[in-house]
Amino acid sequence: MDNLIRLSSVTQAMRARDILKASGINSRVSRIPAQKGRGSCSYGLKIDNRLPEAVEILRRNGIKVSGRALGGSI
Amino acid sequence: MIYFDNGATTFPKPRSVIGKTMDALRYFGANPGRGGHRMAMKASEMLYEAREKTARFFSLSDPSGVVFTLNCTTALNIVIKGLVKSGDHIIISSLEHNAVLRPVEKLKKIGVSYSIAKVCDNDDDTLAVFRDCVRENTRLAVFTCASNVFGTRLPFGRIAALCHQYGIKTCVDAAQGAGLIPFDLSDSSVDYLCVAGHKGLYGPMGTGALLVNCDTLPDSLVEGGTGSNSADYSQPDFLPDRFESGTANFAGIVGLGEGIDFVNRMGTKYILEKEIKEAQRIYDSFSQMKNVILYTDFPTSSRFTPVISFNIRGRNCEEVAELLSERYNIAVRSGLHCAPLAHKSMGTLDIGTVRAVPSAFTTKNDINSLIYAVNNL
Repeated sequence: MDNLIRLSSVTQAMRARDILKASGINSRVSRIPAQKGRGSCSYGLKIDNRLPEAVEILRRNGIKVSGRALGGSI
Repeated sequence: MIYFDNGATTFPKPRSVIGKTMDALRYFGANPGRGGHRMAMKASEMLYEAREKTARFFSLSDPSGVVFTLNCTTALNIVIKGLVKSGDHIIISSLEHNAVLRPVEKLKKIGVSYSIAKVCDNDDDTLAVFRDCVRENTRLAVFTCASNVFGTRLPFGRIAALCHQYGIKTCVDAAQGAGLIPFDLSDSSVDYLCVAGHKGLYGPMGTGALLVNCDTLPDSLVEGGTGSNSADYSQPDFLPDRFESGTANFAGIVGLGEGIDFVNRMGTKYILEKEIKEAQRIYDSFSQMKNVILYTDFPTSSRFTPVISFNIRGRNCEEVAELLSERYNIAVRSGLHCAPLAHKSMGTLDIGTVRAVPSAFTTKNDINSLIYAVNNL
């Protein structure tokens, strides 16, 4: 199952994808399942591995990560 | 049609722009940033690509800072109305378009005041005038990079740097300059850059952008669906969603991205020099015609963008434009060009002018035809 990173918008998701790609981490932009109890539209990244490293890279680059999950829904 | 109304919108558009815009409508017509199906995601990718191209073109490091708008006017309204509050003061230049003048005039109703800084022949003098306009409560300075009526260039980078010394936010109206004048927001005191997509960037009409180059976000002008944070009743506080409510002009924006590619292929320096040479040829010829009145010095690229404003003695500017259209199939713009302040500065407020602006597609034959026609009116 994919690891998930929730981001604020599709624009941020695409920017995050490009930043991770530059660091050698592949990911793909996707709609992300709604947060439990918060039926909110959101986009994020699906990533095969290196999730903690990816989140750290995004934070260092000023990308606000609003949620993450190893292998499942956030 | 021999087209010299490029100050209003460039025509023709590059074939690549037309092709890309058509493809967007024909093959990728889903709503970007909303759904998650393949076509919606492809549309989102295409829109993001245009956002990245726009950011790179103006050396803005974060593509999220590119807010797509309907036009330059909307971008200016977002900044002007979103930043100031009652009691604040704004500085604008004496060459501003109504896209700047009317919003600041309207804000007078809520207790905002503004000063008009006269643009002088000498840049140092212009800087001094702007400095004299600064007050303790000056919150924002809005100024064009080049007059849409007379082509006069402002030292916008120096004005912005001056304003920053006083803690004043700066907003540049680049409706006429984008695509001709280089902008490097990575090394600039310009906080907000407002551009038209359909002029020197050769995109379709109905496109423009606000480039946000600082951390201070204006209040939103329009609220609504953004495809993000949908459970939240409040407008998102992040870019670009804060200012992009409602469905985007997807095909237009994709076309704008292709227009930027076109400008990059030609090079802004090449386009400016080509068009300035054309403006110089028109100026030289017109200056030899006794019945033609010109209003500026000889246009050089360091002081002007390629705009020729003129009148013909004894004739109304509207009549001249009509004759050029009807007799010679030449398109020019007549009147006040939505810029009464600029005409007031030049003493042409009561009569207006005829404006001819070349584009990347203007040919020698086009120039010859205009000169011939004006000489024979």
